[in-house]
Amino acid sequence: MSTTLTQDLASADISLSGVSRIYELGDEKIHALRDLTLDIRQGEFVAIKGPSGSGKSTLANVIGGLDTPNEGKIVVGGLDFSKANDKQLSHYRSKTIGFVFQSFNLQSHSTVLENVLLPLVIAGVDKTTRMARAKECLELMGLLDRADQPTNKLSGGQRQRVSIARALANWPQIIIADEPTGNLDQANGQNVIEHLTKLNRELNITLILITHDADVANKAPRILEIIDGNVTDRKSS
Amino acid sequence: MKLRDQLSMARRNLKRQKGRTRLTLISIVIGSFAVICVLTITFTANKTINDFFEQTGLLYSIDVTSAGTNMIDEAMVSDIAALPGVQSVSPKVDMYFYESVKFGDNAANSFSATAESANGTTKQIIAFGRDLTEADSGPTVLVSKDIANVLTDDNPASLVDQQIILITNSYYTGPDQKKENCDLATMTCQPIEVSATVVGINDGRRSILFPLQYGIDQSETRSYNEIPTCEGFSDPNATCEDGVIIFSNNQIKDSGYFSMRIRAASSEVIPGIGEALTSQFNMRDQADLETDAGDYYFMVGQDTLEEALKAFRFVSLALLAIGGISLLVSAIGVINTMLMATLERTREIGVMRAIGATNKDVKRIFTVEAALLGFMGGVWGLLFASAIIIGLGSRFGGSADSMLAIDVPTLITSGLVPSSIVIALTTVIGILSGVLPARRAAKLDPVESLRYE
Repeated sequence: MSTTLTQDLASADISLSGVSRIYELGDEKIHALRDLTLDIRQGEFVAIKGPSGSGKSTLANVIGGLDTPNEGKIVVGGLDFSKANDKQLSHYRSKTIGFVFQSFNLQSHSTVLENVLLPLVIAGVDKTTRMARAKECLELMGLLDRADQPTNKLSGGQRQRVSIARALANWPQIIIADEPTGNLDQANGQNVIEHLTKLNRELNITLILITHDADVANKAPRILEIIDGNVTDRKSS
Repeated sequence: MKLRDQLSMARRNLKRQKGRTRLTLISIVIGSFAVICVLTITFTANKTINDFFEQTGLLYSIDVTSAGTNMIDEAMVSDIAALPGVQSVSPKVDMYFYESVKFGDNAANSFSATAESANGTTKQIIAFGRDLTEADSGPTVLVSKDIANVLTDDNPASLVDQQIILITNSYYTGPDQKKENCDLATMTCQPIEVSATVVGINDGRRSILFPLQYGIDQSETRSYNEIPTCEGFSDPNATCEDGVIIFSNNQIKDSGYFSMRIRAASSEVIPGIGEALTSQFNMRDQADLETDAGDYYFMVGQDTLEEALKAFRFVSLALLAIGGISLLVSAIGVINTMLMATLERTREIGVMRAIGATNKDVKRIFTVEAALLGFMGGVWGLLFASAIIIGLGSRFGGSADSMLAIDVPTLITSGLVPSSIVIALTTVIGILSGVLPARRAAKLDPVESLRYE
């Protein structure tokens, strides 16, 4: 493993207390998260499972700093979200978090390399460093030979691996993978999960895996089940 | 995010929508092209007119014209020359009776022929040959370079010491005219050819300048009256030949000049001279005419320049307004393009926010794109305008038969270079047009954006 992949990261423990997220749909109020309290330590592999609409993605989004809870407190690596401004939250998403989406969310007109470079460009990393880093991430995902290909020429499994490489680009402490195998066949899904677990195991990156698939969830030492916005710890190794 | 990366991202994003980018660019190019053309013409003409007034001393000159009743006699010329601050004076004779000029097979028309003292009242900028001197009194001329170019196929120096032919109009009844050429009933005559020696070429505009004495001599007019016989005819002011009485009259010699030019020592003394002209010679400033008409009018060169530029500015402003409307339309085009881009890239914006872009980054990405559109439109507009203006300048500039008697280097240095400020203008228009779409993009909720189909 290259040295740049294992930067000396500060601990990014996740702490949620009394977090509620309520959406308003006309007159109707939907409680996506209800008074949720939760701690995830740096380097943990946690699967969050639950049926559709149970609040899994909402939980991922509030931890990732994309969504703001109506109530409660979220602190990650010492950063209190309720006191953070847009710049601090963006910096957190850039440097602490790596997102992996079900539908990959890659720029189809760009090459594999350009997609992985994007978070580094946004973070203002200099050209030489970001090129080396992007290639390093692609190599880790076994995609270096595809660097110059447009992403729309890749298979679903390859695209998801590009997405993981992109998530990995800025040396994150946490990877949030929201249904990463949802659009993949079993073999490719297996392969993606293996790559993610390897990152958790070898780089001590916290892995939060959102899934409704019990088999996928069972790969995690710790499973959190969400039903109607309430979370329950199901398994801890 | 670094500006260089934002520019490169903007360039890539614009490339993604080639058709739409090109259409938007065309609208900006049309607008900037129009504005650059107008500005170039305005700047160049302003510079040329100003330079001409400065170099010829017209800026320090006062032109006096008779109001019709009293002419300017020699005594008055001497009195004015003695006024404090007056450097020199020169009566002017308008030789309106020359219709065209030719040299070999080439001819030019539409010029002014005048006669003035060669005492430096109007400073001549000599390009080739020499200036007229007080010793010149016959048919010797200074020809402006634009006319010399036409007469010599762009080799004006070759005209020096050559004889040119001036062709009179039907009203010429001067000393060179012959009675046989004229219809005595209507007093219109056949044109005649008068030759003159070119002593020099000046940087004037469409002008031929004679020595003052020659102008006075040529101002003599004749009229003819048929009678049955000359026998017994006696008149000290007329002669009789073959039953035709010939009356000779030289209004200048008899009454004085119609106009004259005063050269002030500096611009500071001009108001004082103006006051003296008003009080001592019953003159009125043409720029500030009162109800009581004086015997003469005078026009200060600075006012003449101001009047010339004022008329020009009005036309320029009208044209600029048209160019401005084109730019406004292009701004709407940019807004539309950027709003569509915002909509199409909603999901992409969500991803960018997820991987660390701030609201400001997103706003800047769209603003830079809009600015780049404006900048490129301005650059292309300048390129097209330069090609056309330089092309037209090469074709028509400096020709005596064209109003655009301006050379290409002047067009470039005085016109196109300052007009390139339009690139900054289109860039600012791009930035301003991008504000609304950029703000809209920055305000998008990242979670909603990621869900956008």
